[in-house]
Amino acid sequence: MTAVGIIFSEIHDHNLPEITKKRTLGSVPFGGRYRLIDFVLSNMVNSGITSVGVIARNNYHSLMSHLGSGKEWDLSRKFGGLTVFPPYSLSSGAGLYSGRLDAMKSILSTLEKVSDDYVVLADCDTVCNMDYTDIIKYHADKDADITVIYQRKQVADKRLNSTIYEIGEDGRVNSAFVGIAPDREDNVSLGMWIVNRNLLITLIREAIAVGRLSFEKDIIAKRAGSLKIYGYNFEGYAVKIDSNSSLFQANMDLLDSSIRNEIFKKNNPIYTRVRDEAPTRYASDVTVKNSLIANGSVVLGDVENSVISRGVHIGKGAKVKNCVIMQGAVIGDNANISYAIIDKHCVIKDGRVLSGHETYPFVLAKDTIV
Amino acid sequence: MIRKNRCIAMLLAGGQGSRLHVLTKNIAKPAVPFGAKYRIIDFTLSNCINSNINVVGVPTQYQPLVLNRYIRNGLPWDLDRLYGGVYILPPYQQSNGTDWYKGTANAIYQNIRFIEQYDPDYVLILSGDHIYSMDYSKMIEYHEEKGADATIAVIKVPIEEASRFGIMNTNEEGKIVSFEEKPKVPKNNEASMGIYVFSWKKLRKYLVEDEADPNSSNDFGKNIIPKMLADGEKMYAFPFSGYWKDVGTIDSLWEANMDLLNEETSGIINDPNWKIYARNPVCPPQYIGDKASIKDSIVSEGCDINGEIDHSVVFYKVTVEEDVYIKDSIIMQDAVIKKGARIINAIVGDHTVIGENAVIGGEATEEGRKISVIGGGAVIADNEVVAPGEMIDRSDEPII
Repeated sequence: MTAVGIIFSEIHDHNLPEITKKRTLGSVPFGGRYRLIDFVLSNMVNSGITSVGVIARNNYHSLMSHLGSGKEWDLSRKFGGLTVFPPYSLSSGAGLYSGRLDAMKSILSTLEKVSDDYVVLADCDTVCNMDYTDIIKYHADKDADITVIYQRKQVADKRLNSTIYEIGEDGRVNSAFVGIAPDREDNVSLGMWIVNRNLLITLIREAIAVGRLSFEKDIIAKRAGSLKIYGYNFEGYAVKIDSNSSLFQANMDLLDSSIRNEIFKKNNPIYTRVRDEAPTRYASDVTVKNSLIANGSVVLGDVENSVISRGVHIGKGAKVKNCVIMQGAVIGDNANISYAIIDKHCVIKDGRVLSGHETYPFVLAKDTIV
Repeated sequence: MIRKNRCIAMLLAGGQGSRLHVLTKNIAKPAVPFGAKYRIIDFTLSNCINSNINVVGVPTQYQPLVLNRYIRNGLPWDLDRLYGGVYILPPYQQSNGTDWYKGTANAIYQNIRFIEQYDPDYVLILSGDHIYSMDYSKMIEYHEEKGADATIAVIKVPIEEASRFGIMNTNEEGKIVSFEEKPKVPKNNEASMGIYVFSWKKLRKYLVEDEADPNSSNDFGKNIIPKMLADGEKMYAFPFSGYWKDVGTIDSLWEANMDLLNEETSGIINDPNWKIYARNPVCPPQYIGDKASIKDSIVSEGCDINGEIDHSVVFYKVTVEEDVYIKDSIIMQDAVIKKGARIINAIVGDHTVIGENAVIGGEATEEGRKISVIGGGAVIADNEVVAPGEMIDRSDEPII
């Protein structure tokens, strides 16, 4: 019952224009010291999956430099380990794909070479701590062809497409719907699937033959009747990062100790790239409340209800409240910011005042100087 | 295969460090935690890699388990190399007998074959119990320029403290004319830092001779250096200025940690061009709660802080519950400080539990500051009182 993992580092039409301008969704900074891809990657590693392919599409430099050889996730292996698949251009045409199924065409030969029974397919935009071993066991017990992982909830942001599954009492997926979710509790896809490897190879070959592109629309939705597709309801904390406000809210969720303890489980830790920062330094006259602060930061001002990443400088007399400050940003002396997402290496000069709103955080793109 | 190396380093990590008492009961001194996320040896290892020295041998014999596990393949220091890297060198059985390392010089003598694999021109001898940042490449250049047989790094110490050190008397060119180990009346204040560059062929000769001398205690300071001086070898002092601290005692370990809170001396861990590398634990950022108050302190990742911390050094994964007061103290990794505990002028070891309303240590008095020490893994009961200067040892097993 072994599985390989395939991660789609960028697949969605998302609503994070400033944050993903220069990076893939997978390398979006999160939680003070992580990138979004760390969660799915760590979950796979903690579930005993030691061969993981990451399919990149564009702007993947930051992703490649973050992942390196994969050693920080214990994926620098002689057998298996981490492989990044940049777009692969055949003589027949352009290499950029336009759907998960399309994307997997380029890794068909890799899937054929391994001997594992199952493939875990996953997007990288969901923050959760999930043990795939339970789900793979469920998949095997049901003798399923495909198991979709979903969560029973109401979609928060109505502007974005979601995948909704209709699931019978026996757990079978009867149909799938991709579009704007209706205003009620539904079985919302978490963008993760367990598929029998041999079936996946067949599906990819068929897709090449007839030009299918989308795994969800062309396979799950159209073939729910003919394939044994089961649903697995994940009951833990899981949040999809698909907008500035969900990025902001999910960061804020980490200030809740029960969510924090669920995401950063002792025995299933989330791994990330090491940066060798010094410990966080706090000055003698600061007030820091309810905040998550990473190493390498220097706190000379006040911080409240915020997530502060590695190597951030908070100036003297500055007030940072309800903010997500990413790596290496500098908040000047006496600056006052609230409800903001400040991307990496932004500089807020002394005395500047910036404010967004709880439901619509102000977002400052990478390297901006205010 | 021999690949020529200009200089390799031998980092002496075999000593027991008995003056750190309970803190080195189960681990070698170089593995003692320091500065909220480091261990003492990180500073010398980082100096090596930052000075472009890629081969580091670490002779070790006292309680090496934690040190071995910490250094392992050397990856955090970029010392996992195809050629060279870091090597833990325990004493080993040989056809003509088995010996522990009898002294610092003997530890190198027993590893002559290790050194010769790299065919070095120079060998840098370091000790794993000092906190400092130093570019060894400058010292090696100095050694080369002077055409020296041995070069010893020296630092100016306050003259009233000079009688605690090995003092070098030099001429105008920096050539060492005499050496006095802990002189009662020091002639100057240039103290040996225990950092030596030797031309390898010369050192090899002296190590072999020293080994053959049954009266020798096989020590660099006591035997090799005086012998070379007596023989008129070319020995130079390399002046170093900057932060340097021997952390061989409880008081000096405490002081060196507190130095990291002082703007003038904290640069040692904050220099972006001279990073200090460490094996990093896997944990989320530190959480500072609503009822917390942190002033003038350094805190590492994975902590959950809900009490008051003033002028202290807090390692990773430490839990500080509400109404706790910590001042002028060092709290090592994975410690749990329960509600209402008060910790003043103390070193609290790793994986300890300090019970509710326990009192550890106290403010300095006219007699001076007395540091209380709680050994790693100890459990202090609720309401228990540990007096200033008291040392608690409750662990039988090494903490993994």
